[in-house]
This record gives sequence, structure tokens and C-alpha cells, in this order.
Amino acid sequence: MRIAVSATEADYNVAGVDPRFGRCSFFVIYDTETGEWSSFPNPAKDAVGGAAIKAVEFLKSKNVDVVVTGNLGPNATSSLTAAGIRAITGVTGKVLNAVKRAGE
Amino acid sequence: MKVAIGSGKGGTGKTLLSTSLALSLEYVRYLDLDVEEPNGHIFIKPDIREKIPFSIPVPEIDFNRCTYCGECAKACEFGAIFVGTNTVNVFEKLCHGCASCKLACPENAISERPYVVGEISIGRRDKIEYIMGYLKLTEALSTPLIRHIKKEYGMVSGDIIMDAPPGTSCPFVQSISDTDFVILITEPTPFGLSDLEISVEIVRDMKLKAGIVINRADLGSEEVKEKIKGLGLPVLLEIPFSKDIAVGYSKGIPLVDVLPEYREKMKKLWERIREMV
Repeated sequence: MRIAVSATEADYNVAGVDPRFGRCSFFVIYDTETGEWSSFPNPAKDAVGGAAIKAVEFLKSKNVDVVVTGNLGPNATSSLTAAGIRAITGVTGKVLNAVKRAGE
Repeated sequence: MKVAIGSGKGGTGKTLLSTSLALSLEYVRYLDLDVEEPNGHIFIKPDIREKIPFSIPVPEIDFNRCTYCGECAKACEFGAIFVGTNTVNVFEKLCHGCASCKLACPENAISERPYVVGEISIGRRDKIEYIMGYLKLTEALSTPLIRHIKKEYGMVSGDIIMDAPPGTSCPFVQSISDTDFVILITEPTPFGLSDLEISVEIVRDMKLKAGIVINRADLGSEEVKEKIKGLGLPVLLEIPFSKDIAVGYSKGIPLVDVLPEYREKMKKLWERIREMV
């Protein structure tokens, strides 16, 4: 399972959960099978419009199964559903803890 | 002659000036392009004889043909399409109706259906032909509506006054494009000046002829006023900050009815612009 967290920083050790989804600074992705961490700047961060949709497109291309974030708007929700990506919202605090909890 | 009235900063008097001009001239067409909150009708008080819905073409997916290849989403400049694993989401509110998705689809699975975003009202009051665009609540894209009104109702000969939306982004640019002259109305405050400077830059970039009207001219500081005059555009008129004008405006009474001497000033302003064009 691949878990993506909207993150304030690229370094997963220090990053916090970015409450915004579509315009978060980074996506930190954790693969529960390989134990591998990766992080990417969010390509939709400065999009003129439809940022959440572009962000979901990006996560889909990274084969993400679950998204952990603060809040999702209607466009993000419907796009995630269409992509078959589950979402856990209302998450705050450190990325490390968020991933740990999502894994459970 | 086509003249657009814009401002950058909102609330500096675009509608005050547009309606005063219209009510002072003989045979003029008034286009209210401030489609997010058109208000020229409050002062012009036209009899509306027709209301026409305005729609943009948005994509409709034929799921019998769609292979979910994602080419449509890639082609969309505005992120209005999301291709999922076995469904496609179309976000009408982001769609500009450009049909790029339709052209990009290798399976010919996209057709277009109309999506209503607003309404155009057509009416008349004496010698003023009045056309107003109205963008539906919750819709965000005013540019296609503005473009349509200009194309359908703004291509006639004769005098046309266009009340442009505030701001200096796409709706403003769309409103002033292909006009003969742009009046930029401002107030002598730092905010007014700041937005005016951006507007002047845009007008120059678009190589349009333009002039400035200073509203509430006795407000703000002389320093700001000097800067406005230093922008290199002619200052065509100054309107004072007057309680009478403001009270009249709040009741829907146009400037030229509050202060009838402004009819002459408006006519002169129009003639001066005609000479400059």
C-alpha cells in the first residue's frame, strides 16, 4: 500500500501535515511493502485553478492508494473517488505519526 | 466609436461615469460587462424586453467509446477533466468551453452539451439601447460571457459604452480589447493609484488609446494626484467628492440628474475622446 501525505516540507522526518490538499507544498509517499519513503514537490501548488484535480492526477501517476491530509474540497473528493484512492482527512501533526496511524 | 470604462480598483466610479455618459449622449448602446454584479440598469432604468440564457459548450463523455487514456485531461489547459480508473469527471465550473478535449480524444468519445452560466438582458430606455450580461451565482468564469456579448452586440457601428468589470485580470482585458478608447477612472488614493498603474500598463501593452478621469478628485493627497498626472495619459475630467452625488447614487439617481451641468461635461468628454480617436 502506498500512502501519500500532504506535507509542509520535503524531509519526512521533520515535515508536518499540510492542512491543504491541492495546494500543499510537498507530497510525502510511504510504501508499506518496501518501507521506502519518497517526497515530491506538489506540481499543482501554484495552479491557476483546479489545483486539487491536478494534485490527484499526480498522485494517481505515483500509484498512491491512500491520501492523508487535513481537508478536501468537493473537486478533490470526486477526483479521488474516480481514481479509486481512499482519503483520510482531519489529520494534523507530524507526517511520521500520520503515516504510522494510517498504516494501522 | 467603442469606449470601455475600466478602473482597476473597484468602487472608483465606472458605473457612475458609464451611465452619465450614456444618459448624456444621443443614440448609444450600453454594454454592462461587469457581469458578476451588473448595476448600470439601476441608473439607466431600461425596459427589458428579452432575456437570453447564455451557455458554454462543455464536454460530454460517451462511456461506450472512452478507453480512459487520459488524452482529454492532458489537453485541458484548465484542469477541468479528471480521468479515473473507470470514470471521467468533468468540472463544468472550470471549463472554458474551448473544445480542446474533443479534438484530443483519439476515440471520438467526446461531444459537447450546453451548460448555462448566465443570462443576457436586452432593453431600451429612450435613446439608450441597453445590454447586460449576468453571470449566474456560483459560476466563476465571466470571460466567455463578456466575449460573447462583445461579439454579438458590440460589433455595430455607432457609439458603444462598455462598463468593464473591476480588476486588471482576464475579464478586464477581454472587456477593453478591440475598443477605440479606454477611460480609466480612479480616485487619488494610494490604492486607486496602484491599480491605475497596472491598468495603464495593460492598456499600453495592448496598444489602446486611453485617458484618465479622476473621481472624488478633492480626496486623497496632492502627491498621489501628481503621480496620476505623471502617468503619461491625459486627464480628461475631474469629478469632486460630493455628498449630493453619493446620496443620489445610493438611491439610483444618476450623476447627470443630481448635477445637470454634467450632461454638457459628458458630451464634451465624448467629443474630446472622438477627436483623440
